[in-house]
Amino acid sequence: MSSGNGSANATDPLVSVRGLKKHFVQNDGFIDRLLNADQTVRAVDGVDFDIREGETLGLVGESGSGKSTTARALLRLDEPTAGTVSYDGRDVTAMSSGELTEMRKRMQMVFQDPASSLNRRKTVAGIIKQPMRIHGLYKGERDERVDELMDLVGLSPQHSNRYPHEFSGGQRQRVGIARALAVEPEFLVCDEPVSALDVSIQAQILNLLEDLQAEFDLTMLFIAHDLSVIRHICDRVAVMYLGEIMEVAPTDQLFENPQHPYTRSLLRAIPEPDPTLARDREALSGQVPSPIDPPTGCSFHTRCPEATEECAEVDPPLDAVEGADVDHLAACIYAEEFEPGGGVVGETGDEDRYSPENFDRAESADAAGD
Amino acid sequence: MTPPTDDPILEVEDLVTRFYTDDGTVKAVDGVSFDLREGETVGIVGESGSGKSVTAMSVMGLIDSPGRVEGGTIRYRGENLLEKSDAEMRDVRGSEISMIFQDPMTSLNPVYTVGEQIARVIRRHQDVGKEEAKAQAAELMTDVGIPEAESRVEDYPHEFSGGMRQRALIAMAISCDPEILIADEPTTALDVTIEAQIFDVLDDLQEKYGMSVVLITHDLGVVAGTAERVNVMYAGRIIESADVDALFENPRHPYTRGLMRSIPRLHGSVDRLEPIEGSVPDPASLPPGCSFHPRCPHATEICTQHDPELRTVEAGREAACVHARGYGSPDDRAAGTGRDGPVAADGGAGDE
Amino acid sequence: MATETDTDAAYESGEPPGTHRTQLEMFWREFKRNPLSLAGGGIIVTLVIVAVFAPWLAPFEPTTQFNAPEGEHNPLAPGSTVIEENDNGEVIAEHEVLLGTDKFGRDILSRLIFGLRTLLTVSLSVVLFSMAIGVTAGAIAGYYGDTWIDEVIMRFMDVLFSFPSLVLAIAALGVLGVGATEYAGFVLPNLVKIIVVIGIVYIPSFARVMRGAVLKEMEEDYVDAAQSLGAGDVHILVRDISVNTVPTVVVQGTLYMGTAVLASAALSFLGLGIQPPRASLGLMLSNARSFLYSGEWWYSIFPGVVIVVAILGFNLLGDGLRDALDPRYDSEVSE
Repeated sequence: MSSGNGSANATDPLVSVRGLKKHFVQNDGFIDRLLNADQTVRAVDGVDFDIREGETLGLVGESGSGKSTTARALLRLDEPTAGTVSYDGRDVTAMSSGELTEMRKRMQMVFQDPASSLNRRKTVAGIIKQPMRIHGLYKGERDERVDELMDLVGLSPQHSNRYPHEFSGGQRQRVGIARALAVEPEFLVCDEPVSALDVSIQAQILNLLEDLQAEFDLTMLFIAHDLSVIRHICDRVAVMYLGEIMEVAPTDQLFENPQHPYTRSLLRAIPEPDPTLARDREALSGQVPSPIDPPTGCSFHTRCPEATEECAEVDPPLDAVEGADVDHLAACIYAEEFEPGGGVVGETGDEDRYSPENFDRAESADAAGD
Repeated sequence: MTPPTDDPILEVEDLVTRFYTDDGTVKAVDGVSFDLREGETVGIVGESGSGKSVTAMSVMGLIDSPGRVEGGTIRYRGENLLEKSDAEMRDVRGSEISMIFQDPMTSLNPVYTVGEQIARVIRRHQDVGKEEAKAQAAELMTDVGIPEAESRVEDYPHEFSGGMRQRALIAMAISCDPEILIADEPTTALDVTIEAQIFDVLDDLQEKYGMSVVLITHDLGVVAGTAERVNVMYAGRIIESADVDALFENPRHPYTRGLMRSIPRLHGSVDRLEPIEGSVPDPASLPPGCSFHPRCPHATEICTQHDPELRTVEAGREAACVHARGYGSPDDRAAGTGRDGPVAADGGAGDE
Repeated sequence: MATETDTDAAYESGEPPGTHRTQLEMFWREFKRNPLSLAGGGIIVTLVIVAVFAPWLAPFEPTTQFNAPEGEHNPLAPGSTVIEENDNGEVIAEHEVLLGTDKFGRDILSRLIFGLRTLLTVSLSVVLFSMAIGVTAGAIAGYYGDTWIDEVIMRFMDVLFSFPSLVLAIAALGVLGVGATEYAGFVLPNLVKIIVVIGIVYIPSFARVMRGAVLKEMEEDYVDAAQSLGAGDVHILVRDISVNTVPTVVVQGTLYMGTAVLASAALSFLGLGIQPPRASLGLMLSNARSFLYSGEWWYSIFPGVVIVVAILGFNLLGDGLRDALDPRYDSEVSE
């Protein structure tokens, strides 16, 4: 897959986001507008990040963090209120609709809800063909391409005339992935692609995404609220809270040596499927503040176990942490210098004990067995 | 945590609940048996289609057409709930056995204040006046950790966040001091940091009120941190049952093993995940023999013919797999019929 | 492009659960369940067949006037004999009129059949006319929901909606004149006039319903997906959203058929609609008024019954369609 024809050179990031903001104006109509009682929801409030070609950047955050809105604004599904997004050296935010349509061939999205993201009155074949129709590609061989794509994502092509509701959630998600890959994009935005799926199916879809990324050299932005999932598939991770990025670091680094208090709290709150560890779970106090009226200074200070008075006054910029071995950014006035630890220990490899080899099998086996 | 006593406060035996649809009869719950001891937290783990929620609804008597409880017994303090009339069950619900549901955003009526809704439950089961009920409601809201409960009693649901709403629902559920609380995926719709808070609340309440809890979830992490015993469900049956430590240490059913192997972990390896192949079967047309066999790495010929029942494989552990050590021969029903341990091999085992 | 992943991945997802049923099959199964829906469907199908095959089913021409036998006068009771005379006044034939005659000696049964035909044609045209305009306007308003486009369209619809339909029709026809009229050489057919004056007040209902349906669909991710794939607004509206709104619109249209039937019968009753000698159920009712107390019951009962049955049929069918087309069959397979 060749990278585009932009003027970017090989070491520039493929996707570059600067100062991205998305505000929603919430008002109850004419009177409110008159009285200037507009309420602005600051869903995304100044976000910067890069994605390098071939890498998977994870965007993690809880509800209200703005992660989905960021993804949508990046693709201009919702128009950004401010900021720029450049793809392969070209400014996506300034493009005309014609140029944008052209660009949409290269940037695709996989959606969270497998039921809602497929048009329920279309057959699976029709759904997968749609991008081909829109861009006028694969004329005359669309049916073959549909079969090819279904095969690629692990679906049986003979079911292409069926409707979405006839498939399970995991299968529908595969259809969504097939559709996203139909016109051979370079960049894939995955918006919580496994959150709505059963636990045992999540692994299938994650593996599929990893395989496809390797096969097609895809660059991915992977959005999730589940840190365990992020850990498996992402090269680098950005943690969002209330519309801002709190920390960015390579995956291992973030998990083992988180520098921002929010990241640390997040890691401690996760229920690990291991009774010996699960009891160490710690809750973060307080609620997520409203994005209409975010706290002054650092948006996390109202819940931060390490907050001081200064935190209520200063909004810390996302700066490099000194002393880290790798590129590590954090938005906390107390995270200027690298402090190791504070996160989770890496691989323990304990789940080998669940492998089929270690199955506590009956010795006699079944007399009538094969 | 107060150790549970030995008396089961709830005994579910051979529960069968079916749904009669145009596409066929769905055996949502196909012979489920489990106990809940006083003060204990029992987890029921399963994915969608496993029948875990239907089990809970059956216990609460909330199964509506096209579903029907077709068999089994549900003994609460010795009385079979299935034999109770609708009116009697209405008395049981809320005051003896309470339930909280998955989605706090839609479980509250938007046109009444939260205080009114909690008070209504109180007045349904207790003979108190409006003012008294409201005062109790405010107290309960404080108990569950809603700040400024006195004034928030007058607020409407939309003024509460998801986590706060779930707390309000918990307040409603415990308002009449029930013996049993059934929590059906109580935190699935909530953020992980809020989830941790909710479980802290449930923990405190359980101690304070001496409740027994049935926790239904798909999240193995949640169950690992909260339950003392775990029942794993698949396709309408319990396929494994054990103490939580033993279960995670060495699961005895291939489905449980597959599940634990396939989930991404914070502390696990980042190598390729090992999913369970295939998908959950259509409940209206389950595979012959063992429902899990098409996806099982250990399946053999016998698994396609024989549908294994849940049996004791070790003291305090049960599994429904012919290949599990301690299961015995598939046809040897007398090798163990359930929770009470092995029975003499000459058959004729009693019911208890 | 083949890697080992392909072969492993092939069908790893398993078979799609459930039996394969087309959407039509599922709709029909649901629809069949309700006996009232079937009744409504049956009524409408019967009426439509009668209307379509009117020339073959009607025993006589609807405008042919027969003479009464000696000593009797029109309108004649059902089962009577009428006399057909030629221009010279000689008797050609005698016929039996199953449902009697009207005051001009015309066969009631034939006039019912042709009147039904006209009634259904007009009603259908009314609904199609208002649907075409209303649905288009509503789709645009919904797609650009909460913008000035939406506001302008819907306020205009509010104005239209505020007119009581019959009053507007009467006023309009008062201005335009009844029957086919001519304006500076341009002939405006009567049917067109009727269709427009009745249909114009139904436009807002279709617009509102369509707008609501479009707004609801816009919440679904597949609309975002189409956008992210590069589809333009028109493409999304027409190829994605509209398909999903068809059931809602069809239900609305069927229910409005009943309303249109009533309106056009009423208009004819007032003498403003279908003009004689053309067969018109409403006009028959109007003419029958003077015979209400003299015992010629067949003149008013039969046209009345046909109108009632038609409206009932459309209402039952519309309700049945709505229940059967419910999102119920968009539901999940498991759980």
